Amino acid sequence: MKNHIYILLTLLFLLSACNHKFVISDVDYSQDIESVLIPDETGTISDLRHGISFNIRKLEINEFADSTKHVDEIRMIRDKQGYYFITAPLFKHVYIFKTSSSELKLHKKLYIDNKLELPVFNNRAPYIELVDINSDSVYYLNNKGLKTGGKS
Amino acid sequence: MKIQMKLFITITIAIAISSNICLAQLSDYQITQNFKNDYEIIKGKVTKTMTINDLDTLHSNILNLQNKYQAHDEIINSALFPSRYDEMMGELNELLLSSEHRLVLIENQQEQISNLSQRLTAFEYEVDHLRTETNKLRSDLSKSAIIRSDLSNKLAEYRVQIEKRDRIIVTYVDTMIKEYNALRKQAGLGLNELNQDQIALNSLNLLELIQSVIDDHYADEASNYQLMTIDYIRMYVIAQQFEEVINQVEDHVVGVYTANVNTDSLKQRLFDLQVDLEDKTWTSIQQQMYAMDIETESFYDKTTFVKTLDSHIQSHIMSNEDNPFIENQYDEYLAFNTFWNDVLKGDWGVPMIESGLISTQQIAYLDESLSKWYSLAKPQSYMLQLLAGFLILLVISLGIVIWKLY
Repeated sequence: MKNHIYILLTLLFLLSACNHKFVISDVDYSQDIESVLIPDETGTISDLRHGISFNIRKLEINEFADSTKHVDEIRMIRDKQGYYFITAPLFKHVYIFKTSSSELKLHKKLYIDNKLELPVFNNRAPYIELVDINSDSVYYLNNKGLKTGGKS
Repeated sequence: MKIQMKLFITITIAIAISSNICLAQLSDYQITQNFKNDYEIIKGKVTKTMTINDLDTLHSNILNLQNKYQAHDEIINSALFPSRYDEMMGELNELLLSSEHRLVLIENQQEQISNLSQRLTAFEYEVDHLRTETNKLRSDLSKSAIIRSDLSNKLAEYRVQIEKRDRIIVTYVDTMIKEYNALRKQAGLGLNELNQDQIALNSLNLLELIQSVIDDHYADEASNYQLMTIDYIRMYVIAQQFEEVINQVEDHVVGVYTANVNTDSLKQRLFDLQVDLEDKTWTSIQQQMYAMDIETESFYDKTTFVKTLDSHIQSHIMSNEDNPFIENQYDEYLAFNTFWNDVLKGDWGVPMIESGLISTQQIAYLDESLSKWYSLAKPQSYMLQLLAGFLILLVISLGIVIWKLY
Protein backbone atom coordinates (compact mmCIF):
# COMPACT_ATOMS: atom_id res chain seq x y z
CA MET A 1 0.00 0.00 0.00
CA LYS A 2 2.80 2.37 0.98
CA ASN A 3 4.56 1.55 -2.27
CA HIS A 4 1.42 2.39 -4.22
CA ILE A 5 1.21 5.75 -2.54
CA TYR A 6 4.86 6.50 -3.46
CA ILE A 7 4.26 5.52 -7.08
CA LEU A 8 1.12 7.68 -7.23
CA LEU A 9 2.96 10.66 -5.75
CA THR A 10 5.83 10.27 -8.23
CA LEU A 11 3.37 10.13 -11.13
CA LEU A 12 1.54 13.22 -9.86
CA PHE A 13 4.83 15.09 -9.59
CA LEU A 14 5.83 14.15 -13.13
CA LEU A 15 2.42 15.15 -14.50
CA SER A 16 2.54 18.52 -12.78
CA ALA A 17 6.03 19.10 -14.20
CA CYS A 18 4.79 18.36 -17.72
CA ASN A 19 1.82 20.75 -17.42
CA HIS A 20 3.92 23.64 -16.10
CA LYS A 21 3.57 26.71 -18.49
CA PHE A 22 6.60 28.52 -19.72
CA VAL A 23 5.99 32.26 -19.17
CA ILE A 24 7.99 35.41 -19.95
CA SER A 25 6.84 38.12 -17.64
CA ASP A 26 7.17 41.95 -17.55
CA VAL A 27 6.45 42.34 -21.23
CA ASP A 28 5.88 45.95 -22.27
CA TYR A 29 3.39 46.18 -25.15
CA SER A 30 3.06 49.95 -25.05
CA GLN A 31 3.13 52.13 -28.16
CA ASP A 32 4.94 55.45 -27.70
CA ILE A 33 2.87 57.12 -30.37
CA GLU A 34 -0.73 56.48 -31.29
CA SER A 35 -1.55 55.06 -34.69
CA VAL A 36 -3.77 57.14 -36.94
CA LEU A 37 -5.33 54.72 -39.38
CA ILE A 38 -7.47 55.38 -42.44
CA PRO A 39 -10.03 52.65 -43.19
CA ASP A 40 -10.35 51.43 -46.77
CA GLU A 41 -13.69 51.15 -48.60
CA THR A 42 -14.46 47.88 -46.80
CA GLY A 43 -13.70 49.41 -43.40
CA THR A 44 -10.44 47.56 -42.90
CA ILE A 45 -7.58 49.35 -41.20
CA SER A 46 -3.98 48.15 -41.31
CA ASP A 47 -1.23 49.26 -38.97
CA LEU A 48 1.82 47.98 -40.77
CA ARG A 49 4.19 49.44 -38.22
CA HIS A 50 2.65 47.53 -35.30
CA GLY A 51 1.45 44.56 -37.32
CA ILE A 52 -2.29 44.58 -36.81
CA SER A 53 -5.20 44.71 -39.24
CA PHE A 54 -8.96 44.42 -38.63
CA ASN A 55 -12.34 45.66 -39.82
CA ILE A 56 -13.99 48.53 -37.96
CA ARG A 57 -17.53 48.19 -39.30
CA LYS A 58 -18.74 46.42 -36.15
CA LEU A 59 -17.16 49.17 -34.05
CA GLU A 60 -18.93 51.88 -36.07
CA ILE A 61 -22.29 50.12 -35.75
CA ASN A 62 -21.70 49.70 -32.05
CA GLU A 63 -20.89 53.40 -31.67
CA PHE A 64 -23.44 55.00 -33.98
CA ALA A 65 -26.10 52.30 -34.05
CA ASP A 66 -26.26 53.11 -37.73
CA SER A 67 -24.61 50.98 -40.42
CA THR A 68 -24.43 53.89 -42.86
CA LYS A 69 -22.26 56.08 -40.64
CA HIS A 70 -18.55 55.71 -41.15
CA VAL A 71 -15.48 57.40 -39.75
CA ASP A 72 -12.59 58.83 -41.74
CA GLU A 73 -9.88 57.74 -39.34
CA ILE A 74 -9.29 55.64 -36.26
CA ARG A 75 -7.03 56.59 -33.36
CA MET A 76 -5.47 53.62 -31.63
CA ILE A 77 -2.83 53.15 -28.96
CA ARG A 78 -1.70 50.20 -26.85
CA ASP A 79 -0.78 50.33 -23.18
CA LYS A 80 1.91 48.48 -21.34
CA GLN A 81 -0.34 45.53 -20.53
CA GLY A 82 -1.27 45.15 -24.18
CA TYR A 83 -4.79 46.62 -24.14
CA TYR A 84 -5.81 48.52 -27.25
CA PHE A 85 -7.51 51.91 -26.76
CA ILE A 86 -9.53 52.86 -29.80
CA THR A 87 -11.63 55.89 -30.60
CA ALA A 88 -12.41 58.15 -33.53
CA PRO A 89 -13.69 61.66 -34.25
CA LEU A 90 -17.38 62.03 -33.31
CA PHE A 91 -17.21 58.96 -31.03
CA LYS A 92 -18.59 59.31 -27.54
CA HIS A 93 -16.66 56.32 -26.28
CA VAL A 94 -13.22 54.94 -25.99
CA TYR A 95 -13.13 51.21 -26.59
CA ILE A 96 -10.61 49.14 -24.70
CA PHE A 97 -9.86 45.77 -26.25
CA LYS A 98 -7.76 42.90 -25.14
CA THR A 99 -6.23 40.55 -27.62
CA SER A 100 -7.14 36.96 -28.11
CA SER A 101 -6.44 34.44 -30.84
CA SER A 102 -7.37 36.33 -34.05
CA GLU A 103 -9.73 38.44 -32.01
CA LEU A 104 -10.05 41.72 -30.20
CA LYS A 105 -12.36 41.27 -27.24
CA LEU A 106 -14.07 44.29 -25.76
CA HIS A 107 -12.69 44.75 -22.30
CA LYS A 108 -14.31 48.08 -21.49
CA LYS A 109 -16.31 50.75 -23.24
CA LEU A 110 -15.66 54.12 -21.64
CA TYR A 111 -18.24 56.83 -22.06
CA ILE A 112 -16.80 60.32 -22.56
CA ASP A 113 -19.16 63.04 -21.42
CA ASN A 114 -18.46 65.27 -24.38
CA LYS A 115 -18.62 64.05 -27.94
CA LEU A 116 -15.04 63.79 -29.15
CA GLU A 117 -14.56 66.19 -32.04
CA LEU A 118 -10.89 65.60 -32.61
CA PRO A 119 -9.56 62.99 -30.19
CA VAL A 120 -5.90 62.08 -29.88
CA PHE A 121 -4.08 59.60 -27.64
CA ASN A 122 -0.75 60.15 -25.97
CA ASN A 123 1.16 57.60 -23.97
CA ARG A 124 1.65 59.07 -20.51
CA ALA A 125 2.60 55.91 -18.62
CA PRO A 126 1.11 54.56 -16.49
CA TYR A 127 -1.90 56.25 -18.15
CA ILE A 128 -3.12 56.79 -21.65
CA GLU A 129 -3.92 60.44 -22.18
CA LEU A 130 -6.97 61.24 -24.28
CA VAL A 131 -7.11 64.82 -25.54
CA ASP A 132 -9.93 66.37 -27.48
CA ILE A 133 -8.06 69.04 -29.39
CA ASN A 134 -11.18 71.06 -30.18
CA SER A 135 -12.51 71.31 -26.64
CA ASP A 136 -9.12 71.17 -24.88
CA SER A 137 -10.48 68.36 -22.69
CA VAL A 138 -7.93 65.97 -21.25
CA TYR A 139 -8.72 62.54 -19.80
CA TYR A 140 -6.47 59.93 -18.23
CA LEU A 141 -7.35 56.33 -18.83
CA ASN A 142 -6.09 52.88 -18.07
CA ASN A 143 -7.51 49.44 -18.75
CA LYS A 144 -9.63 49.72 -15.61
CA GLY A 145 -11.40 52.83 -16.78
CA LEU A 146 -11.37 56.60 -16.77
CA LYS A 147 -9.19 58.06 -14.01
CA THR A 148 -9.81 61.78 -14.39
CA GLY A 149 -11.75 64.15 -16.54
CA GLY A 150 -14.88 62.12 -17.22
CA LYS A 151 -17.05 59.32 -16.11
CA SER A 152 -16.76 55.69 -16.96
CA MET B 1 0.99 54.47 6.81
CA LYS B 2 -1.83 53.61 4.41
CA ILE B 3 -3.09 57.17 4.52
CA GLN B 4 0.40 58.47 3.78
CA MET B 5 0.69 56.08 0.85
CA LYS B 6 -2.66 57.19 -0.64
CA LEU B 7 -1.70 60.83 -0.17
CA PHE B 8 1.57 60.23 -1.97
CA ILE B 9 -0.14 58.54 -4.91
CA THR B 10 -2.76 61.28 -5.16
CA ILE B 11 -0.11 64.01 -5.11
CA THR B 12 1.93 62.16 -7.72
CA ILE B 13 -1.09 61.84 -10.02
CA ALA B 14 -1.98 65.48 -9.44
CA ILE B 15 1.54 66.62 -10.30
CA ALA B 16 1.60 64.41 -13.34
CA ILE B 17 -1.75 65.73 -14.51
CA SER B 18 -0.95 69.39 -13.81
CA SER B 19 2.42 69.14 -15.55
CA ASN B 20 0.67 67.83 -18.61
CA ILE B 21 -2.03 70.46 -18.66
CA CYS B 22 0.22 72.85 -20.49
CA LEU B 23 0.71 70.17 -23.16
CA ALA B 24 -2.96 69.24 -23.10
CA GLN B 25 -3.65 70.49 -26.58
CA LEU B 26 -0.76 68.63 -28.08
CA SER B 27 -0.79 65.29 -29.79
CA ASP B 28 2.49 63.38 -29.88
CA TYR B 29 1.46 62.04 -33.25
CA GLN B 30 0.83 65.56 -34.52
CA ILE B 31 4.18 66.77 -33.20
CA THR B 32 5.99 64.08 -35.14
CA GLN B 33 3.93 64.77 -38.26
CA ASN B 34 4.65 68.51 -37.97
CA PHE B 35 8.33 67.79 -37.50
CA LYS B 36 8.36 65.55 -40.54
CA ASN B 37 6.61 68.17 -42.67
CA ASP B 38 8.78 71.06 -41.45
CA TYR B 39 11.89 68.94 -41.97
CA GLU B 40 10.93 67.98 -45.53
CA ILE B 41 10.08 71.58 -46.43
CA ILE B 42 13.44 72.86 -45.16
CA LYS B 43 15.28 69.94 -46.78
CA GLY B 44 13.56 70.72 -50.10
CA LYS B 45 14.55 74.37 -49.82
CA VAL B 46 18.16 73.47 -48.98
CA THR B 47 18.34 71.14 -51.97
CA LYS B 48 16.82 73.60 -54.40
CA THR B 49 18.38 76.81 -53.18
CA MET B 50 20.11 78.72 -55.94
CA THR B 51 21.66 81.69 -54.16
CA ILE B 52 24.17 81.96 -51.37
CA ASN B 53 22.02 84.66 -49.72
CA ASP B 54 19.25 82.09 -49.10
CA LEU B 55 21.64 79.94 -47.09
CA ASP B 56 21.59 82.31 -44.08
CA THR B 57 17.80 82.14 -43.92
CA LEU B 58 17.91 78.37 -44.24
CA HIS B 59 20.52 78.15 -41.51
CA SER B 60 18.23 80.05 -39.14
CA ASN B 61 15.29 77.88 -40.27
CA ILE B 62 17.27 74.81 -39.23
CA LEU B 63 18.10 76.35 -35.87
CA ASN B 64 14.42 77.17 -35.33
CA LEU B 65 13.47 73.61 -36.25
CA GLN B 66 16.02 72.35 -33.76
CA ASN B 67 14.77 74.67 -30.98
CA LYS B 68 11.18 73.74 -31.68
CA TYR B 69 11.57 69.98 -31.65
CA GLN B 70 14.62 69.28 -29.48
CA ALA B 71 12.38 68.67 -26.47
CA HIS B 72 10.40 66.05 -28.41
CA ASP B 73 13.39 64.08 -29.69
CA GLU B 74 12.37 60.87 -27.92
CA ILE B 75 8.86 60.94 -29.35
CA ILE B 76 10.27 61.66 -32.79
CA ASN B 77 12.78 58.82 -32.45
CA SER B 78 9.92 56.43 -31.60
CA ALA B 79 7.63 57.67 -34.32
CA LEU B 80 10.17 57.84 -37.12
CA PHE B 81 12.15 54.73 -36.24
CA PRO B 82 14.60 53.68 -37.73
CA SER B 83 15.37 57.36 -38.41
CA ARG B 84 16.62 59.31 -35.43
CA TYR B 85 16.12 62.95 -34.63
CA ASP B 86 19.85 63.68 -34.08
CA GLU B 87 20.83 61.93 -37.30
CA MET B 88 18.15 63.73 -39.29
CA MET B 89 19.27 67.11 -37.99
CA GLY B 90 22.89 66.15 -38.69
CA GLU B 91 21.97 65.21 -42.26
CA LEU B 92 20.16 68.50 -42.71
CA ASN B 93 23.19 70.47 -41.53
CA GLU B 94 25.46 68.43 -43.81
CA LEU B 95 23.11 69.04 -46.70
CA LEU B 96 23.26 72.76 -45.98
CA LEU B 97 27.06 72.62 -46.02
CA SER B 98 27.17 70.69 -49.28
CA SER B 99 24.65 73.11 -50.81
CA GLU B 100 26.88 75.97 -49.75
CA HIS B 101 29.82 74.24 -51.39
CA ARG B 102 27.77 73.57 -54.53
CA LEU B 103 26.61 77.19 -54.73
CA VAL B 104 30.13 78.52 -54.31
CA LEU B 105 31.22 76.19 -57.09
CA ILE B 106 28.33 77.24 -59.33
CA GLU B 107 29.07 80.90 -58.70
CA ASN B 108 32.68 80.26 -59.57
CA GLN B 109 31.68 78.43 -62.73
CA GLN B 110 29.30 81.20 -63.70
CA GLU B 111 32.19 83.59 -63.40
CA GLN B 112 34.35 81.34 -65.57
CA ILE B 113 31.58 80.95 -68.14
CA SER B 114 30.97 84.66 -68.28
CA ASN B 115 34.72 85.11 -68.69
CA LEU B 116 34.71 82.62 -71.54
CA SER B 117 31.73 84.35 -73.13
CA GLN B 118 33.53 87.67 -73.00
CA ARG B 119 36.61 86.18 -74.54
CA LEU B 120 34.56 84.50 -77.21
CA THR B 121 32.92 87.80 -78.07
CA ALA B 122 36.30 89.53 -78.24
CA PHE B 123 37.63 86.73 -80.34
CA GLU B 124 34.64 86.82 -82.68
CA TYR B 125 35.25 90.50 -83.12
CA GLU B 126 38.88 89.84 -83.99
CA VAL B 127 37.96 87.09 -86.46
CA ASP B 128 35.35 89.36 -88.03
CA HIS B 129 37.96 92.01 -88.42
CA LEU B 130 40.40 89.58 -90.01
CA ARG B 131 37.65 88.24 -92.23
CA THR B 132 36.85 91.73 -93.43
CA GLU B 133 40.51 92.28 -94.16
CA THR B 134 40.72 88.97 -96.00
CA ASN B 135 37.61 89.72 -98.02
CA LYS B 136 38.99 93.11 -98.89
CA LEU B 137 42.26 91.55 -100.02
CA ARG B 138 40.39 88.93 -102.00
CA SER B 139 38.46 91.65 -103.74
CA ASP B 140 41.64 93.66 -104.25
CA LEU B 141 43.22 90.60 -105.82
CA SER B 142 40.38 90.36 -108.30
CA LYS B 143 40.72 93.98 -109.18
CA SER B 144 44.46 93.90 -109.42
CA ALA B 145 44.63 90.75 -111.49
CA ILE B 146 45.45 92.91 -114.44
CA ILE B 147 48.14 94.79 -112.61
CA ARG B 148 50.72 92.04 -112.53
CA SER B 149 53.30 93.88 -110.54
CA ASP B 150 50.90 94.42 -107.66
CA LEU B 151 49.52 90.91 -107.76
CA SER B 152 52.37 89.05 -106.05
CA ASN B 153 52.49 91.53 -103.17
CA LYS B 154 48.76 91.31 -102.67
CA LEU B 155 48.87 87.54 -102.85
CA ALA B 156 51.61 87.34 -100.26
CA GLU B 157 49.70 89.70 -97.99
CA TYR B 158 46.53 87.68 -98.49
CA ARG B 159 48.26 84.46 -97.56
CA VAL B 160 49.82 86.00 -94.46
CA GLN B 161 46.40 87.27 -93.45
CA ILE B 162 44.58 83.94 -93.74
CA GLU B 163 47.47 82.20 -92.03
CA LYS B 164 47.23 84.65 -89.15
CA ARG B 165 43.47 84.16 -88.94
CA ASP B 166 43.77 80.38 -88.91
CA ARG B 167 46.51 80.44 -86.30
CA ILE B 168 44.36 82.55 -83.99
CA ILE B 169 41.41 80.24 -84.52
CA VAL B 170 43.41 77.12 -83.70
CA THR B 171 44.91 78.66 -80.58
CA TYR B 172 41.56 79.89 -79.44
CA VAL B 173 39.75 76.63 -80.11
CA ASP B 174 42.46 74.79 -78.16
CA THR B 175 42.03 77.09 -75.18
CA MET B 176 38.25 76.85 -75.31
CA ILE B 177 38.28 73.08 -75.41
CA LYS B 178 40.67 72.87 -72.46
CA GLU B 179 38.46 75.19 -70.43
CA TYR B 180 35.27 73.38 -71.40
CA ASN B 181 36.83 70.10 -70.38
CA ALA B 182 37.84 71.59 -67.04
CA LEU B 183 34.29 72.86 -66.53
CA ARG B 184 32.83 69.52 -67.53
CA LYS B 185 35.08 67.74 -65.00
CA GLN B 186 33.62 69.98 -62.31
CA ALA B 187 30.12 69.16 -63.53
CA GLY B 188 30.09 66.05 -61.36
CA LEU B 189 30.34 68.35 -58.35
CA GLY B 190 27.20 70.18 -59.38
CA LEU B 191 26.64 72.19 -62.51
CA ASN B 192 23.24 73.75 -62.42
CA GLU B 193 20.99 73.94 -65.47
CA LEU B 194 21.72 77.61 -65.98
CA ASN B 195 25.46 76.95 -66.27
CA GLN B 196 24.87 74.02 -68.60
CA ASP B 197 22.69 76.20 -70.80
CA GLN B 198 25.39 78.84 -70.87
CA ILE B 199 27.99 76.24 -71.83
CA ALA B 200 25.60 75.02 -74.51
CA LEU B 201 25.16 78.52 -75.88
CA ASN B 202 28.90 79.12 -75.84
CA SER B 203 29.37 75.79 -77.61
CA LEU B 204 26.79 76.87 -80.12
CA ASN B 205 28.66 80.12 -80.70
CA LEU B 206 31.82 78.10 -81.20
CA LEU B 207 30.08 75.90 -83.78
CA GLU B 208 28.73 78.98 -85.57
CA LEU B 209 32.23 80.33 -85.64
CA ILE B 210 33.57 77.06 -87.01
CA GLN B 211 30.88 77.09 -89.66
CA SER B 212 31.84 80.58 -90.73
CA VAL B 213 35.54 79.60 -90.92
CA ILE B 214 34.61 76.56 -93.02
CA ASP B 215 32.68 78.87 -95.33
CA ASP B 216 35.80 81.04 -95.58
CA HIS B 217 37.92 78.02 -96.37
CA TYR B 218 35.51 77.03 -99.12
CA ALA B 219 35.77 80.55 -100.48
CA ASP B 220 39.58 80.46 -100.27
CA GLU B 221 39.64 77.13 -101.98
CA ALA B 222 37.26 78.21 -104.69
CA SER B 223 39.16 81.42 -105.37
CA ASN B 224 41.22 81.55 -108.49
CA TYR B 225 44.40 82.44 -106.65
CA GLN B 226 47.05 79.83 -106.58
CA LEU B 227 47.04 78.50 -103.02
CA MET B 228 50.25 76.73 -102.08
CA THR B 229 50.65 73.23 -100.69
CA ILE B 230 51.24 74.55 -97.19
CA ASP B 231 47.91 76.42 -97.39
CA TYR B 232 46.02 73.21 -98.14
CA ILE B 233 47.84 71.31 -95.39
CA ARG B 234 47.14 74.07 -92.88
CA MET B 235 43.47 74.16 -93.82
CA TYR B 236 43.35 70.38 -93.55
CA VAL B 237 44.82 70.53 -90.01
CA ILE B 238 42.24 73.10 -88.99
CA ALA B 239 39.43 71.01 -90.46
CA GLN B 240 40.62 68.05 -88.38
CA GLN B 241 40.73 70.14 -85.23
CA PHE B 242 37.23 71.42 -85.94
CA GLU B 243 36.00 67.89 -86.29
CA GLU B 244 37.38 67.14 -82.83
CA VAL B 245 35.75 70.28 -81.41
CA ILE B 246 32.37 69.42 -82.93
CA ASN B 247 32.53 65.92 -81.47
CA GLN B 248 33.33 67.34 -78.07
CA VAL B 249 30.75 70.10 -77.90
CA GLU B 250 27.84 68.60 -79.84
CA ASP B 251 26.50 66.88 -76.68
CA HIS B 252 26.10 70.29 -75.07
CA VAL B 253 23.99 71.71 -77.84
CA VAL B 254 21.56 68.80 -78.07
CA GLY B 255 18.19 70.08 -76.97
CA VAL B 256 19.27 73.68 -77.13
CA TYR B 257 18.34 76.08 -79.91
CA THR B 258 20.12 74.73 -82.95
CA ALA B 259 18.43 76.57 -85.78
CA ASN B 260 21.64 78.38 -86.70
CA VAL B 261 23.87 75.33 -86.63
CA ASN B 262 22.94 71.81 -87.51
CA THR B 263 25.79 69.65 -86.23
CA ASP B 264 25.08 66.81 -88.66
CA SER B 265 25.18 68.99 -91.74
CA LEU B 266 28.17 70.84 -90.31
CA LYS B 267 30.02 67.53 -89.85
CA GLN B 268 29.12 66.46 -93.40
CA ARG B 269 30.30 69.78 -94.78
CA LEU B 270 33.52 69.46 -92.82
CA PHE B 271 34.02 65.92 -94.07
CA ASP B 272 33.55 67.04 -97.67
CA LEU B 273 36.00 69.88 -97.11
CA GLN B 274 38.57 67.47 -95.64
CA VAL B 275 38.26 65.10 -98.62
CA ASP B 276 38.60 68.01 -101.02
CA LEU B 277 41.56 69.50 -99.17
CA GLU B 278 43.36 66.16 -99.01
CA ASP B 279 42.94 65.71 -102.79
CA LYS B 280 44.26 69.17 -103.44
CA THR B 281 47.16 68.63 -101.04
CA TRP B 282 48.36 65.53 -102.94
CA THR B 283 47.92 67.23 -106.32
CA SER B 284 49.82 70.23 -105.09
CA ILE B 285 52.64 68.10 -103.66
CA GLN B 286 52.91 66.25 -106.99
CA GLN B 287 53.08 69.53 -108.86
CA GLN B 288 55.80 70.73 -106.52
CA MET B 289 57.77 67.54 -107.21
CA TYR B 290 57.41 67.97 -110.98
CA ALA B 291 58.59 71.52 -110.61
CA MET B 292 61.70 70.17 -108.90
CA ASP B 293 62.31 67.64 -111.71
CA ILE B 294 61.27 64.65 -109.61
CA GLU B 295 59.23 62.24 -111.60
CA THR B 296 57.20 59.74 -109.65
CA GLU B 297 54.07 57.72 -110.07
CA SER B 298 50.93 59.58 -109.10
CA PHE B 299 49.56 59.32 -105.53
CA TYR B 300 46.17 60.19 -104.15
CA ASP B 301 46.23 59.42 -100.39
CA LYS B 302 48.65 59.07 -97.48
CA THR B 303 49.33 55.39 -98.14
CA THR B 304 50.08 55.78 -101.86
CA PHE B 305 52.10 58.92 -101.12
CA VAL B 306 54.56 57.14 -98.82
CA LYS B 307 54.56 54.08 -101.08
CA THR B 308 55.37 56.24 -104.12
CA LEU B 309 58.24 58.02 -102.36
CA ASP B 310 59.60 54.72 -101.11
CA SER B 311 59.40 53.02 -104.50
CA HIS B 312 61.05 56.09 -106.08
CA ILE B 313 63.97 55.82 -103.67
CA GLN B 314 64.17 52.02 -103.90
CA SER B 315 64.18 52.03 -107.71
CA HIS B 316 67.10 54.47 -107.69
CA ILE B 317 68.94 52.38 -105.11
CA MET B 318 68.48 49.29 -107.24
CA SER B 319 69.59 50.90 -110.47
CA ASN B 320 72.62 52.42 -108.69
CA GLU B 321 73.55 49.03 -107.34
CA ASP B 322 73.20 47.47 -110.83
CA ASN B 323 75.15 50.20 -112.55
CA PRO B 324 77.16 52.60 -110.40
CA PHE B 325 78.09 54.79 -113.37
CA ILE B 326 74.62 55.97 -114.40
CA GLU B 327 74.67 59.52 -115.60
CA ASN B 328 73.04 62.24 -113.44
CA GLN B 329 72.40 59.86 -110.60
CA TYR B 330 73.78 62.27 -108.04
CA ASP B 331 71.72 65.17 -109.47
CA GLU B 332 68.59 63.10 -109.14
CA TYR B 333 69.50 62.31 -105.59
CA LEU B 334 70.16 65.99 -104.84
CA ALA B 335 66.81 67.06 -106.30
CA PHE B 336 64.94 64.51 -104.24
CA ASN B 337 67.00 65.29 -101.14
CA THR B 338 66.13 69.01 -101.46
CA PHE B 339 62.47 68.19 -101.86
CA TRP B 340 62.49 65.77 -98.95
CA ASN B 341 64.57 67.67 -96.42
CA ASP B 342 64.02 71.32 -97.30
CA VAL B 343 60.48 71.36 -98.61
CA LEU B 344 58.58 68.41 -97.17
CA LYS B 345 60.26 68.12 -93.79
CA GLY B 346 61.33 71.74 -93.48
CA ASP B 347 58.28 73.63 -94.72
CA TRP B 348 55.43 71.17 -94.38
CA GLY B 349 56.73 68.67 -91.81
CA VAL B 350 55.03 69.88 -88.63
CA PRO B 351 51.51 70.36 -90.03
CA MET B 352 51.79 67.15 -92.09
CA ILE B 353 52.67 65.11 -88.99
CA GLU B 354 50.05 66.96 -86.95
CA SER B 355 47.37 66.14 -89.48
CA GLY B 356 48.47 62.54 -89.88
CA LEU B 357 49.30 62.92 -93.57
CA ILE B 358 52.63 61.34 -92.75
CA SER B 359 53.96 59.79 -89.56
CA THR B 360 57.32 60.23 -87.86
CA GLN B 361 57.98 56.49 -88.32
CA GLN B 362 57.43 56.82 -92.06
CA ILE B 363 59.76 59.83 -92.16
CA ALA B 364 62.44 57.89 -90.25
CA TYR B 365 62.08 54.95 -92.63
CA LEU B 366 62.39 57.14 -95.74
CA ASP B 367 65.35 59.00 -94.17
CA GLU B 368 67.13 55.69 -93.81
CA SER B 369 66.37 54.69 -97.41
CA LEU B 370 67.56 58.08 -98.59
CA SER B 371 70.87 57.63 -96.75
CA LYS B 372 71.35 54.35 -98.56
CA TRP B 373 70.60 56.06 -101.88
CA TYR B 374 73.15 58.75 -101.04
CA SER B 375 75.84 56.22 -100.22
CA LEU B 376 75.36 54.67 -103.65
CA ALA B 377 74.82 57.86 -105.65
CA LYS B 378 77.58 60.01 -104.21
CA PRO B 379 80.44 60.73 -106.67
CA GLN B 380 83.43 58.37 -106.26
CA SER B 381 87.04 59.67 -106.10
CA TYR B 382 89.64 58.04 -108.58
CA MET B 383 92.62 60.15 -107.51
CA LEU B 384 94.33 57.37 -105.53
CA GLN B 385 94.01 54.88 -108.38
CA LEU B 386 95.48 57.44 -110.85
CA LEU B 387 98.33 58.22 -108.47
CA ALA B 388 99.14 54.52 -108.03
CA GLY B 389 99.12 54.01 -111.83
CA PHE B 390 101.35 57.01 -112.29
CA LEU B 391 103.81 55.69 -109.71
CA ILE B 392 103.90 52.26 -111.40
CA LEU B 393 104.56 53.88 -114.80
CA LEU B 394 107.28 56.02 -113.22
CA VAL B 395 108.97 52.99 -111.68
CA ILE B 396 108.78 51.08 -115.00
CA SER B 397 110.17 54.10 -116.92
CA LEU B 398 112.99 54.51 -114.43
CA GLY B 399 113.74 50.76 -114.70
CA ILE B 400 113.95 50.96 -118.53
CA VAL B 401 116.19 54.06 -118.37
CA ILE B 402 118.54 52.45 -115.85
CA TRP B 403 118.65 49.16 -117.87
CA LYS B 404 119.52 51.08 -121.07
CA LEU B 405 122.24 53.06 -119.33
CA TYR B 406 123.97 49.93 -118.05
